[in-house]
This record gives sequence, structure tokens and C-alpha cells, in this order.
Amino acid sequence: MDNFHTIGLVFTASALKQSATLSKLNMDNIDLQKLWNEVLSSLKVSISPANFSTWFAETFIYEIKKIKQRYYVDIGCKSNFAKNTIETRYLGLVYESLSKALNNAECDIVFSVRQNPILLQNNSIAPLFQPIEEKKERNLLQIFQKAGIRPYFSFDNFAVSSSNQMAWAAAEAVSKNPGSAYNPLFIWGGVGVGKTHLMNAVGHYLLSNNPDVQVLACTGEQFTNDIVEGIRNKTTQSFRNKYRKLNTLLIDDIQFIAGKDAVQEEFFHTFNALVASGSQIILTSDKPPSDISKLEERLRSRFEAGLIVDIAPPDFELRCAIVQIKSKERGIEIPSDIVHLIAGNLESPRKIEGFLTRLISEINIKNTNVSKEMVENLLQKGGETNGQTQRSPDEIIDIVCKHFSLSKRAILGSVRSRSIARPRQILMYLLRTNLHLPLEEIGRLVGNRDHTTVMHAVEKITTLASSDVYIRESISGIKSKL
Amino acid sequence: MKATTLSENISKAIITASRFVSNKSQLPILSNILLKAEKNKIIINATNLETSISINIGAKVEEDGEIAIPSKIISDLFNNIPSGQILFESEKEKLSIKSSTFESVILGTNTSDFPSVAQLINNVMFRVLSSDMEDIVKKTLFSVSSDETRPILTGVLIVIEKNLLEFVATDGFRLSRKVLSLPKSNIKDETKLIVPRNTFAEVLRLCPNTEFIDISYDNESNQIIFAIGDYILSSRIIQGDFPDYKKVIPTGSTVTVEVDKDDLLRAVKLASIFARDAAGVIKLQIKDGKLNILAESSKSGSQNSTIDAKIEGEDDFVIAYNYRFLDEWLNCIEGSIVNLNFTNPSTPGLFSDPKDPDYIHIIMPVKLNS
Repeated sequence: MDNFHTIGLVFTASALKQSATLSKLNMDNIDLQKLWNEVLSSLKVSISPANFSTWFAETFIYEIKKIKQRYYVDIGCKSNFAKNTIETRYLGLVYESLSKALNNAECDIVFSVRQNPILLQNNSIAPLFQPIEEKKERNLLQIFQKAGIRPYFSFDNFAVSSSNQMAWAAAEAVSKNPGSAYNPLFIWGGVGVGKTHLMNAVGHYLLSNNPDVQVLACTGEQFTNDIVEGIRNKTTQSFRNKYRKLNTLLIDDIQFIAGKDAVQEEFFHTFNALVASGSQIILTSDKPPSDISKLEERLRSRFEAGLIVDIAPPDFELRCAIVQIKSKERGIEIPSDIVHLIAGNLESPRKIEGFLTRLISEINIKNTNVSKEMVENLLQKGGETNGQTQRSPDEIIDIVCKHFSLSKRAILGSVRSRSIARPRQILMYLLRTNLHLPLEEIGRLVGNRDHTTVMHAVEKITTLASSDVYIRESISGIKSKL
Repeated sequence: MKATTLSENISKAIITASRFVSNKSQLPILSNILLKAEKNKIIINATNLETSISINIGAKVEEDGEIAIPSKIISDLFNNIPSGQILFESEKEKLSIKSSTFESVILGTNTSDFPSVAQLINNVMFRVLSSDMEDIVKKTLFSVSSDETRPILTGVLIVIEKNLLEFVATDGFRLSRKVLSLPKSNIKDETKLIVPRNTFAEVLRLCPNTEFIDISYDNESNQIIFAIGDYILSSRIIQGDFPDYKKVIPTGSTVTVEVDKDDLLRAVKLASIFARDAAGVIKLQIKDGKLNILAESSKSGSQNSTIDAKIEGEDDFVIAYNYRFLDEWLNCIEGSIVNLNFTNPSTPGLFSDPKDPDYIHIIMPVKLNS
């Protein structure tokens, strides 16, 4: 009773397969589900609802092939019972409507017991099977640590704009195609422009895709120390094993090895060994290779053989993006006008980072939300002086006058036309933010003005810096001269 | 048909068969069971299109024949029928049942629409002692999911490799695995079958009827067949990929606890009183060489029971569990001592019975907020 019915018009499967390989057609253009729904709705008319729902529920077309002029259709049924019943009782009906749906083509129908794959789709993972993911992540963290990769420096949180687009594209290309796209990749630029971030992101990407890849990120200084230690302990072999078996070597601040002969020698050999084995090398520096003094000529030429890209200091838009990314990482939401305010007043991403840290501690201490007043207040206090020699107020006045091509008398005088008043306000702003002079003192310096005038000026410029390109450029122009 | 048999034999068969009849079916024929007389036996068939059963009962057959009878009526009838000889006689679509003191005529139907049910087992793949099967089902079935949105987890996975059988069940929060080695089998390639929960539940009920269970399966018809004495049970196999359970099994542990099973069960039961309205959460605390079971509820109060235990590894460790999971696991353990192995309050714990090294159970802890 339980044997499988073979039906007259059905080929044997093996015979079919042979001919199918010869003339198998791509049937993707037939929407199987649509076709079967069409057949089902015509069957519904002639079969009682109880029979229809019992036998035809969860049936589907598993496969359809065209062999010469005939179609071969494999229909999946929920159970053996459904298969047997449809085969014995409803084959005629199925055949009739299926062939009609296929434009009266002849077809061979076979039935098989299969579960409808659509019903099997359930992507939610049961809790017991989730921890594996977590574990993997933890392992990945360990791998990052071992490779010296900072896990929070990835491509995902790297903001791209015109100033660093080239470097970013090069890094992306290298991460997709390590060892062959650009080897070595030499990234240079000023402080805090994102060289290390970009280099780390390549390592991050490679390791997340394949944790078995041998990646090492270190600084030029670490490399130097390793060599020194190797020489001292007579373990240069282990040093070579460490560096020469890598798939990807990332060295930050390579300019540190300049002028150190033994280190340059060792690096030269490491470099050659790695490039010869198809490993990727990425270097960062604060200068282009041509400007690194005391760099051996053979290293310089090798660096220049790869791709040299520079990263310019971030522009206003990029700084806005950086403020948004960094504040999001710290879990605070900053409205866009305040983002502009911050990005307009701070030039370097590191300053932005420091500012956000201060802002967050302020928020936590005072237990309030981010407000424009608070940000303005913090910005006017200025950042920590970064060790540069402080200019005297008089020097600043001179520089501002020079920048705007105004006479000292005009700027300190009482004329209130905008062309003079704006530079005057900028002057007051700079005196306040750069030198932290008291308001009254600034007022006295700038033509004996009231301290409230100074307050107004500083506030005005702080706000304008976020919206007015001219003001922004003036400030950064002057600051670069300070 | 015309056949005589003993009521004590056939009552049990009919009541068993009626369990395989779906009362939700839209097709009238599926609410029937099939009675068939041939050679010297009566065959009873029933199916709900997922599982089916066929039962052979010895009888004196005078005339072959078959009829489909509403399952509800005949099973209710045989629940109360007196013991002794019973004569079945069918004429067209009526079945008359006669004993010395009782007589009934039941309206049945023609059998032509009745689905064909597996009545015998071909190519037996392997044979399992029914006592082993009973043990396996008891230790795994409770872990099977009843959540129909994850069909894969609503069955027990059987992995057959050479003469090793592995039974795995999980609902995504806990997992049971029992390994059984067979003296012989006819299996060459590794095979994985997922058998629905209800099928195993029925197998468990039928186990006491026989010493051996023969099992065969057929990928083409997607069917697994159990021959349990006179009962032939067939079931569909759930298709799909079972989650990779091997990865979930913890390999090491930082804390191992050896504890008396009855003590632990009692403590879990005590804790459950308060855990009931706290989402079932109880805490296992290992401190100063003792195991404390704590539960508290904002509504009803709190409790703490302390059990002597042999503890190795980290002291001062807290892990939270749903008491139902522990309770169900403890209830299937035969030995008097159980082992609990933990690594981390947020990773699954491994539970084992030193008396049955082939059986392991894994439970996902509840995450503590602190």
C-alpha cells in the first residue's frame, strides 16, 4: 500500500537528468510562485474546500525545467499522504491547469515530499545559540589586541570628505586587495588628521573578515625597540620571525626610524622580505618621504614606489561629521546647530574629542541637556594651551590688523561700520579664547570699551563661526599666523 | 468483513489508534479509523497526515473486508466494553459489533478515500532496545520546543553515524543530548533526521508493549517508521538544518558543583514558590563551599535554602536560572548525585548525571541586571 505510484506520463528521473544536462534552460524568468498560485486557484474551483486545504496546503513548485518542447515540473508536497493522494486523484486536474498556465505546453509532472522552503525561513536565533556570536566577538577583541589594532578605529566610524577622500579610497582598495593594490601605502599628514585611524581601519577590516590573517600594527618606535632588544638579547631571529611572517604590517610614524642606521637596515630587509612574499605594508608619517631627513635613499625610493597619499586638515563639513560620530559614540545626541558651533570653533579632531569629553562631564555633573549656552560658554573658555609660546595681546592686535589690512587706529577706534566692527569682534574673540584675558582687560585694550561689549562680541563670533564661512576662514587664517 | 477477536486486545488498539486521529481535520474521512480483516488478523489504521499508526491484532477471520468508522464513537465505545469475545461484521457501510451481552451497529464510510498508511517495515536501519528508547525519550523530549514558528526545533534530531546514535533536542534555551551506541546497524553514511515531538511522545507510550523497536527511514517519502511490536508507527521527518548544537556545548568550566539530586530538587521546588511570580527566576549562589538557592518576589516574599555541595573552582559565584528548566531536568535523572558546571553567569551551564555519562543537558542562564 505504501509503495510509490509511478505514473504513465512521468519519465524516470535518471533518464530525465541525462537529457536535462543537455538542454537545461534557465527558468528564472518564470515566477514559480506566481505560476503555482495560478494553478492552485484554478484547482480550487473544481476541488472541495476541505480536500483542497488538506492536500494542496503547502504545495509548491520545487523545480521546473524545459526539455526540448516539454516542461518537467517537480511539485513539492507536505507529506507522503498528500503526495500519494494528489498523484492518484488529482493528477489529471493538476496536469490540465498547469499545462494551460504554461501556454498549452506538454508537461511531465513529478511529485516529491518536500517542505516549502518559504515556511522554513525563520531567521531569529534562539538565545542558546547566540552566545557563540558573543564569544566570537570576544575572540576578535583578543585578536585585535594581539595585532595591536585598536578595535574602535574602523572604516565604519571614519568620516570622509574632500580633504581625506583620496587616502580613504586608497585604504579601502588596499583592504579589499591587500598586497596587490598599492604596496606600500604611505599616508602622511599633520597631527590628528586620521592617519592612524585609517591605517588601523585596514587592519580591522582584514581581521574581521578573516581572524587568521597575520596582521601587526606598531609604531616606528616600537619597531626600533624590538630591534634593540633583539640585538641586546641576541634574539634577532625571533624578531625576524615576528615581522617577516606577517601578511600585513602597519607602521605608524615611520619617520622615527630616520637617522638610525641599524634600524633602517633591518627595516629595509624586512620590507623587502614582506613585499616579496606579497604582504601588504602601510606606513604613516608626518611628512612625505622626500621630506624625511636622514632617511636612507634606498628606503626613500622604496616608499616612493608605492602610493603616497596625504591627508589635509579636516574642513568644516568633515569636522561636523566628526563631532556627530564622536558624540554618538559617547551616547549623546547633539542638535545640528550646536554641532556646527563646535565644528566652527575647533579645528582639529583631537580638540573636538577633548571638547566633547569636557562637555559630557559638564552634562553629567550638572545633570542637564546639551544647550547652546553651555557649549558657547565652554568654547569661550578655550582649550588647554598646547605648549606654544603665547603671543602678547599687542602682537595679536597687529596680526589681526594685518590680516584685515586695517590700521590699528581704525580697529581700536570708535567707527562702527561692519567692515571694521567685525574684525574688531574677531580680535576680541581671539583675545578671549586664546589668551583668556578678563573681559574688562580686553575692553581696555580694544579702545577702552565696556566689558559687556566684549561679551557680546565673543558671543557673536562664536555663533557666526558655525554659520559664516568668511568668519571661519578669517579665524583659522589668523590662528595659523599666531 | 466478519471476524472475531477478544475485546481486551482490540480495545487498547482502538484507543491507541484514536490518538492518531486529528479532531481538527476538515476532511471527514480523516476523523475515522480504518478496520480491516485479512488472513488471521484485524488491522487498525489511523492517521492525521503527520503521523500514522497501523496495529495488527490476532483474530479469527471468516470473511475479509474493510470499513472506516468514526474514531470518537468507536473509541468511546471500547472504553467501556466488557471483556470477552467480540464479533465484528460489516455490511456495506455499517459495522455491527456483538458480544455476549452487548450489540451495536455503527454507521461507517467507504474506505476508498482513506489515505494509505504504512503497514509494514522494510529495510530496518537499526534496532533499539525499547528500554533504551524510553530512557532517551524521557531525557530529551522535555527540551523540545513547542514554538511552531521555529519548526526545526519542534523535533528531536537523530544523528546516526555508523553505530552511534545521537539524540538532540533544544528549544533555544536548553539542550539535551543523549548518545547511544548500537551493537549493529545497517547505516553507512552519516544521517540526520528530525523527528516531530509528538511522534516521540507516542513512541514513549508504546514502548512498554515490546522489547525491541525497529526503525527505518526513507528520504524520498520523507518518512520514518518505527516498528514497536504489533504497532507500526510512521511519521513525517521535519526538513531543514538543525542549529549547530556542538558549538553550544561548553568545553571547560570555572566552577563545578557536585550535589545530591534530591536536595537540589527540593531546594528548587522551595524556591519555585517565590519564583513563580518573578518570571521563574531563581539564583544559584556558590559561597563558602556551599550552594545557596535563592528566590524572591516583590509580591510574596523570599527564601534561601543552603545545600552541602562539593565545589571546585571559583568561590563567590552567582548564576540565575528559570526554575522550570532545572526542575524538568532533575526529574529525568536516575542517579542520586548530579554535576553542575558553570563558566560565566552569562554563558550556558553544563548539567550532567555521573550515572549516565552519555547524557548531557545545557541550560542558558537568565541574565542578571546588576
